Amino acid sequence: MKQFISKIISNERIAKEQYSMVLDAAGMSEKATPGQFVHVRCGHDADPLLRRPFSIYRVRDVGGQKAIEIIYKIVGRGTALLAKKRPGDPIDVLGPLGNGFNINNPSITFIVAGGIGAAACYMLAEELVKKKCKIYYFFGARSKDYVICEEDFRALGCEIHICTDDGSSGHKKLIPDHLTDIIKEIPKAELSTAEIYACGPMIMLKKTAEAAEKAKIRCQMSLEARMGCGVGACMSCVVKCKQGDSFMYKRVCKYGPVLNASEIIWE
Amino acid sequence: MGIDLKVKIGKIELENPVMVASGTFGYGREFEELVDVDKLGAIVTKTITLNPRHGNPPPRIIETPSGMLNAIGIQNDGVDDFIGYKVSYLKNIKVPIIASIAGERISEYAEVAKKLDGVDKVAGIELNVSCPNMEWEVSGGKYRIFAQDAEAIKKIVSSVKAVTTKTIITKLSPNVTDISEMARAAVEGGSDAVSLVNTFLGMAVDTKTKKPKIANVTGGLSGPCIKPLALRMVWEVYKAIKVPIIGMGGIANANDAIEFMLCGASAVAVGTTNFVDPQSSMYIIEGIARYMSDNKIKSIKEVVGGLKV
Repeated sequence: MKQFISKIISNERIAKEQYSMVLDAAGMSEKATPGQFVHVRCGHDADPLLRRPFSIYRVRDVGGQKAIEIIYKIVGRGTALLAKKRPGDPIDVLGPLGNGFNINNPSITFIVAGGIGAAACYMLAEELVKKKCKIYYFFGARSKDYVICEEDFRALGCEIHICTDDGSSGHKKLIPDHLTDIIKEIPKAELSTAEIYACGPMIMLKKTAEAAEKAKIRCQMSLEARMGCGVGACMSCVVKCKQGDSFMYKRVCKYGPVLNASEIIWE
Repeated sequence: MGIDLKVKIGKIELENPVMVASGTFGYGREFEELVDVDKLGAIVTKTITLNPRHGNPPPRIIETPSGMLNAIGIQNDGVDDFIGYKVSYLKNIKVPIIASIAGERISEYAEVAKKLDGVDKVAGIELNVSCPNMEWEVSGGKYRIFAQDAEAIKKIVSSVKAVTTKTIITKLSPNVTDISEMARAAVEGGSDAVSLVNTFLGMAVDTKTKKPKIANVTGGLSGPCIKPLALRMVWEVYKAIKVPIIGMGGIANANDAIEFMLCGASAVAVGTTNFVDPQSSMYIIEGIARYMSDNKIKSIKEVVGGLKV
């Protein structure tokens, strides 16, 4: 991890309320792994005060320079400021942070992304393609206006399944339900080394964890949490996890953001 | 011109007056890749308790205008884990380490302090009597924050004084009617210094769900928004006691730090700003040195309490 002043290469609207920002990552000390994040200072004075965490969508080469792309949604003052930034503007970045996806050797994989959660999944899909895995990519959003990154995942060769709340794109269905239906169509023997990876709203993750447990498929999920420091010091971003017979609040920024679904205590 | 940034807090000699505040810097290691920790004046650890603590349920943090509310609930692995594991990393750090401790009962402070007394790397003990996120037993089943009870403060300090020769710093809460009374109680108990302020109790509400934005309902407010309040309290305490003051509360830059020192703080601590910019303590040290050379000040001690009123 390193703190560095990056330069914005591009910052473009990709769908309703959602943007893609490409940042010069020459100052990033190490290689980002799938599921890691950067902690970004959206303003420059005391308000809004705290950094905002964003998944690293992908690492790119822009004119021979290492660059990272983040995908974000305007949800508050920090992200609203971010959307106003222009190419060439400096931006204070901390990263890469956290522990990403643990990539074993799965045969079949299911990526379940809800809305902006797609941002945590692209590098993962890239890595799974390298391992020659079959990838089913499930993406859920409110409506067709909110569908993002579909073409990027299609270009990687993923089998795309879109679900929307209003049915304006793909199936009118919740993605965990659609996931369950697709899993049912696959012969059990092929599922023994399958793996599910998920990122999205808590309620979607909870339902995905239930679907995974029912299907007896290992499942990892990238969690979102309000963060302070981003480096494990402030203990703000915790999630309740099983710990023997008891529980423990684990730091999403340090222990995660990717956790095994089976260790999370859903409330 | 040589600039002397050295300050002394109790028996602890600091190379410069800029420390990092408890709860905002973990146990040092979390920031090792981001900050040259050996350049700090001192590191105050996250608060350590006798037994491990789960802490409060999430959400534990929410941003507010120019600040943040938190209610962590002193999640930590306990003093034995600190001595057994965390100290081994801290031994590599050259600057003084001040262990922040708290107890669920008055007697626990001395129990923890006793265990730490044998740890050479721990230069001082900061008594966190003022964490606003929980109420602890004062006596006979009576629950309140120790920091709001001068008798409790005096008792805690004197009980710790009896079991350790290390420098004792008492961290005061701003959530009191008269903070100088609490400072005097700490000094009467034998505190070598006081640090102030801890966070201000506050709330934030989600109007859509009608729920508090922090699971604990109330939380401690920190960040630049509290600086004027904290400064006033440092000035009040400076007029009331003779022992050194470590000033904190919303310090974001060198100018803020100098304001605290002019109001009577011998040293300062950077807290919430560590989250915003981990390098800020480094810039603050440089900025203080620049202020001194610009104003032809040889020793930082000349700045302390220099407020012209």
